[in-house]
This record gives sequence, structure tokens and C-alpha cells, in this order.
Amino acid sequence: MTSDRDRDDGRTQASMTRGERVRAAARTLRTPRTASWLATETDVSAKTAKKYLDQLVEDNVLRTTEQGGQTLYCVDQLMATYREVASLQRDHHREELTDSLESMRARITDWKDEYDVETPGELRASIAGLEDRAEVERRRDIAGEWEHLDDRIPVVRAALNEYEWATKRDALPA
Amino acid sequence: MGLPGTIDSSVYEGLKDVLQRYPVITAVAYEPDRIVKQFLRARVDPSRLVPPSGPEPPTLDIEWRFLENESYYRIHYADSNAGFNCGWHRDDDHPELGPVHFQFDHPVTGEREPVHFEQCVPTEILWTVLDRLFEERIPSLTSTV
Repeated sequence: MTSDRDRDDGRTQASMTRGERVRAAARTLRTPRTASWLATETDVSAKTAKKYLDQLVEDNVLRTTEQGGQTLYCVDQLMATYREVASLQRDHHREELTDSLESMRARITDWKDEYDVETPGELRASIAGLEDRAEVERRRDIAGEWEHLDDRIPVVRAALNEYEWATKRDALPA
Repeated sequence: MGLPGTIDSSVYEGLKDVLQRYPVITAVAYEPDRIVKQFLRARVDPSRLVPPSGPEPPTLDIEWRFLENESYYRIHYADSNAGFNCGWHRDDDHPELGPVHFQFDHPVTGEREPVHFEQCVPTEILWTVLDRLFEERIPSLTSTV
């Protein structure tokens, strides 16, 4: 039986069903949460949320953990990173990945030289005491960008490390 | 932008899914590219806005970051035809307005106001913002500029 809460409202029905909405929301579960927590957030029944969450566990998108007799769901970060590495290998030439990696590293080197710091944390710390608002904003922007590049570099490097092997694995049989 | 915290590509995939299904949005891409993936940029069909705009497609930029369990984000719309931009930001720029604020920037008029969302899930916040932007804010802001 379908409860009223599970029915799509008119506007969203055209673009996204409740199930699709739960699936999109599930990708944001960085902290382990129960099915009923996600059900409240997405305005569906706990049963519906659990159905989609369990499917995503089967598909290795989410993983579960038990806590206080409850099942909690969160994104399987290891599998998400492997998928990310595979899509970089499949969608980009080795040269593109190499150029991008070099360019990310060069930007970080430039920031280190320009501000005489070694980490984005040190750059953020250097903001204290600055009065020029434009410079404060600039350093904050760079620190945010730097932190992101620090995260991306290992992913791109992992894609390059096994690029040839992945290309062979990805070839379609003749 | 300068939001604190780190980006999670998996979360961006969920947000991209929401954007791609929203009727007035015609294209969604990673910026500066799919390798670096710093933020998402959606292009809006100017002829499907109420009221219609044009000729340039307005853009909607979404950057989402996480510092421990806290979300920081900017969902920012810019229409060069109408000469304004506005957005929902959760950052440290306006502590007097609380964690989240709406801001409307225009050479003559402009405003900042506090905002509260019932939901915590990024995709649900984005749905709420898209509804408010296209159904309420754009029609009323366009009539004031």
C-alpha cells in the first residue's frame, strides 16, 4: 500500500520521482545515518527509504554499520574513489591527466613561493592580522582551492599509475 | 569563493543529478573541468524563465564543501541580461545573519537576509533553493530592477 507521503507531488513528478530523490540524497550520506533519518529529510516513508538504501548497498554505493541495534548507511568512500579513478581513466587521455596533474602541482608551488607557506592551513593562519579585505578574500579563495587540489592530486595520480593496465582491461572484445 | 573544508565528488554527482532534472536547466558541467572538479555550473534557458530573459543564458554555480560534519556552500545565480546576481550562501561572511543567508547584488539595489532550511541533505536543500529561485525570487527581483 502506498502512503500519501510516498506520492509524488505534481511538479516534482515530472522531473524526479521519490525514488530518484532518495537515491540522489543517499550520495550525500558522508556521516552514517538511519533509513528513517533520510526518510524524514526526503519526505518519504522509512520503508521506501530503506528499499532504495538497501539497493545502493547491493550496488556498492553505500555501506552499512550497526550501532545501538540500528543499521546506519553511509557512502562507501573507497568504492566511490575507485569509480572516480576508473572514470578518469576511461574518459581522458593519459596526456590530459598528466597535463592536469602538472598544472595543479605548479599552482601549489606558485602559492608556496608567493606567500612563503607550506600548507593551505598556514595560508589561512596568515590572514589573521591582515586589514586589507581584498587580500583576506584572496587568501581565503586560494586556501580553499589549494585544499581541493590537495584532494584531487592523489586521485589523478592513482588514475595515471595504472593507466595502461586499465586501458587493456577496458578494451571491448573484438 | 573561499569556502572552508573539502569537496566530495560523490556529493557533486547527487547535486548534478538534481540540476539535470530541473526543467529550466539545459546543461550542467564541472568547472574548471571534469578532472579538477571544483564546482558545478548549470546553464539556464533564458526563454523558459518567468519573466523571460536573454539572449545570454544565465548561470547557476554550486560549490559544496564539508568541514567535519558541517556543510558550507554557495548556490549562486547570475543573469547578465537583467544585470543582477543572487544566491544562498552558508559561509562565514555574515555571522550577524546566522549560518545561511540570501544575498541579492545589484548596482543600485541589493540586500542580505537570514535564511533557514528545514533539511540538512544537500540535494534537498538544492531542490528547495531551485524552487525558491525560479518560482519566487526571479519573478520578484526582476520586477524591482
